Amino acid sequence: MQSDNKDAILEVKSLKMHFPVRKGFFNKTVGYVKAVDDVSFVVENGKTFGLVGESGCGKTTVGKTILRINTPTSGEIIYKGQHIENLSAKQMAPIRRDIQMIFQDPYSSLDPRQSLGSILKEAIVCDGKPHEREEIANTISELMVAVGLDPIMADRYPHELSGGQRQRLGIARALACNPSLIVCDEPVSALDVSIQAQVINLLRDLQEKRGLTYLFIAHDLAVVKNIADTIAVMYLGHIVELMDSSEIYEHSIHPYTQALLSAVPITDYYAEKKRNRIVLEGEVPSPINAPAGCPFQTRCKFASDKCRKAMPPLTERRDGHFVACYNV
Amino acid sequence: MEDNRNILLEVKHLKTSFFTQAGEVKAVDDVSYYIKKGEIIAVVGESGCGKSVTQMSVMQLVQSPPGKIVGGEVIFEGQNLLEYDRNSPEMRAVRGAGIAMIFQEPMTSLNPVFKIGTQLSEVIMIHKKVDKKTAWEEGIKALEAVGIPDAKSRMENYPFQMSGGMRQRVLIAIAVACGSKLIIADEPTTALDVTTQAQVMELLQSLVKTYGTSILMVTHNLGLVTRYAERVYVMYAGKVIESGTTEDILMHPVHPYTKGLLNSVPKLDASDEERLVAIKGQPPRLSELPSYCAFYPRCPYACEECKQGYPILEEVGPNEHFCACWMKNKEVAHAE
Amino acid sequence: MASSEDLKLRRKKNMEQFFRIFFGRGIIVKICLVIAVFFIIVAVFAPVIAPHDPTATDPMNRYLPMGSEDHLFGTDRYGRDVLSRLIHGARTSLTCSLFATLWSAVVGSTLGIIAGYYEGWLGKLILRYVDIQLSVPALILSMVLAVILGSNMFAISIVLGIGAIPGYIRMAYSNVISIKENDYITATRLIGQKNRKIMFRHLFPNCFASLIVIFTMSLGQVIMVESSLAYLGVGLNEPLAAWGLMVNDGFASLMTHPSVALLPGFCIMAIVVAFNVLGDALRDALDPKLRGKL
Repeated sequence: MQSDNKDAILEVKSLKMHFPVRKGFFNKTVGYVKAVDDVSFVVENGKTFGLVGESGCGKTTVGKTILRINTPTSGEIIYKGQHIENLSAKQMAPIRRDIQMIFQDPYSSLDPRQSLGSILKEAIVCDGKPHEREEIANTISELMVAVGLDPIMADRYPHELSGGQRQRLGIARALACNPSLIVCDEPVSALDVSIQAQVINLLRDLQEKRGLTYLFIAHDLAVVKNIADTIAVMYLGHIVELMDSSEIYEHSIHPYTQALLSAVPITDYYAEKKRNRIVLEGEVPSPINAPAGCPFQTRCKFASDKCRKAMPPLTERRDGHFVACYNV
Repeated sequence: MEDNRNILLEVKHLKTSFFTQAGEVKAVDDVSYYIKKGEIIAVVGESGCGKSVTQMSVMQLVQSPPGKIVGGEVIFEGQNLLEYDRNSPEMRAVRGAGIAMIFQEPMTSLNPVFKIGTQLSEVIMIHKKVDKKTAWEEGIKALEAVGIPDAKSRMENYPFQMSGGMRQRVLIAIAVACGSKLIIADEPTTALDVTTQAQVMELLQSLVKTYGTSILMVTHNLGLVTRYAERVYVMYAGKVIESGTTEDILMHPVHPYTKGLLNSVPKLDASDEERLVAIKGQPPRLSELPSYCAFYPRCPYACEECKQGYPILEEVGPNEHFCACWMKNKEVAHAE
Repeated sequence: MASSEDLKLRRKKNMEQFFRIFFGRGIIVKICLVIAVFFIIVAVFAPVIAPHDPTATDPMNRYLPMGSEDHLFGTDRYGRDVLSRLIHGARTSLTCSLFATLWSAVVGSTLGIIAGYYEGWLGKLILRYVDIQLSVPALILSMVLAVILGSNMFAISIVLGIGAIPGYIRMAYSNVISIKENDYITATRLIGQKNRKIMFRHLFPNCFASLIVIFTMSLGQVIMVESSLAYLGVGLNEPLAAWGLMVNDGFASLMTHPSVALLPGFCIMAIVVAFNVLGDALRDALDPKLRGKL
């Protein structure tokens, strides 16, 4: 694909993450959940790469594998020119803090027994360097201001905050490590609409100020379109379409992307009344021992014999617009 | 409200409070709305705005204590439901046969240790007074009616063997089987995937066409409102702050909160560089509400006049467009 | 912002909140605190307070009733002064049970947290150990150990502690298994925190509430087991004064001279209830969710 890209901060090549399904007395492996199956993409420095898909499509697993919470079954993960797919925990240590994560659930992502200040302090001092007391206090204030929290709140506990404020603190914790890449796993989907916009804007501001790169994982197409530069649509462990975010609303090609788009109502009343709705039949098949060929074949109106034999490769249809489909 | 015969449910000045150690928390404060037969309306608001408590009050399902309905009327088919005791046979008959409720998390609404068929036929037996075998047959028909393939064998399934979308369909099937006239759907698709959400919403809409059911959906998703609802009530801090037809609310909102909400939704059809306009601040805590407009601390048009008390709902346009804002007649409120 | 002044103020505020919640349950907590402090003072100053030598027998004055002259709580079957034995018994029983509960709490929760955090072979090994220990009847295990280790106070504390360990391991393990699924544990790993510190700073405080319950419960149990061992003749030996021992000693004459057995029994009950109530209050006072409320 777009390899040899000098701006690439992260390159993922043919990433596979298969989890064994064990059953019975002897823990016999009866099959594999192909959570991620042959996924490749490039994330450019300072940009936002969006991963969209429904639950179970493997988007979160991709994120966790890049963070090396999982060790991939096969494939390559190249971060800043270095292969990290097989590094041990010790070898990962020097780059550990350079890739951070923002979580979906603002309630489980903060330790209820720690004050906001001590959560940030822990993240600051974990780099193994000596820190002066004064310096830590200053950094905590700076971080809190940067994410729009009042530094006076440093001695509060997470339960005293609203969901949006908790999410801001989660962002501050990630920033405390001075990361280059942040994996945002559904960072706004648990928030109220008015708060969602605040957090999205905050993420965009921080990106501009600090030159951050985001891998933005979400199920909400509109949110991803707003923040991402490039969007990859995932279905059952595969990327089925990859394009510039400006393409998605009017120029998407893959039948799944189109169905997904059509399932999301827009708030423009007159335009919405004119849109045609594609309602997909059935549900996402189980990823355990998924059928050969295109994963979307069971719900696709174009499905042919060819689709049942082999997974269609991602091919470039327009400049930087890749689609994995035989029929469109 | 010109044609009273057509009105299925009318809620008048409903007030529900929670009495906690910290004092009275007015979760629902003087809320009025109505729904006609065969109509889909939406109640929109953020978490904690009282939109769910309102519906729970209608069903008299508010946890008590600490909750208590302190005033108002709930008129369903000409009968004030609040005159019934919450545990009375009349109220139980209304729940289910009259008004059905569907919740966000379909897993917790079904008993995990009983078969789908057992739960479904039990409800049918109670409400239709038929024997077990007939109830089972009707259960199969109901499952078929909500588009569950292979309904006969699905009756033997346990809830955990079904996906979220399927479970939501089962709940709708229960409503269909009981012949409910009104379905209150509280965030029915929030826990579901986008494509499943579309399926469930289409199903609900088809019920309106086939059976003339009325649907009240409680949601924070403005997109769903645009696509499915005919009229909208916007709630903030326990009060309805704007109501009207979907077209009016979405295209010509008057209340600054409604405008802010619409601006903060990311749009698929927007250009790339466009920033969202967020509403500043945090949603209010119901226990710490001011004695004036609750949106005041977050409102971009707030001024001294707003502090004179709670604004009341006043008509601001044709087609029953109401809005509760001190500034609604001022030029500034209409500035885009 | 965080000048030393602020820091002091915040500490003061935190302490205030701590005590407000600690005593928030009303008079009971205060009474229990008085009981616990009373027994601890008695235990510390036992030789000074006790009017008689607790081991001195007096065959002429066996089974004196309560309120006798010179023997406020009477005497037992050897004519020993019950009050003095209670006072010295406080020392033996409290030291023994506190030491046993403390060391088993530390070891048991550490093992439990490790088992939950590293689910691999290490975790399995620890859990197997628990299964094996629990498959042997607790009393028989304690008897065998007591025979091997001897019957001095230190050895008995070790024996009693071993019996309490599986409870801590199980409780800590099951808590950690669910706590570690929280995103904040993943987040802490991602900032490069060491495993040891994750366990100490995040896992331990979050299962503290359940552990304190086990702690206060086992404190009472340990005193009871101590008396059982004494009864079976493998625990603390006569003529040493210990409450459990005294209960068993007086048991034979329960019908004729009830006070000899009931008085130490009452002491055991008082201290167990006191520690239970204090444990619950401590648990609440340390929970940040409850601070700021009430």
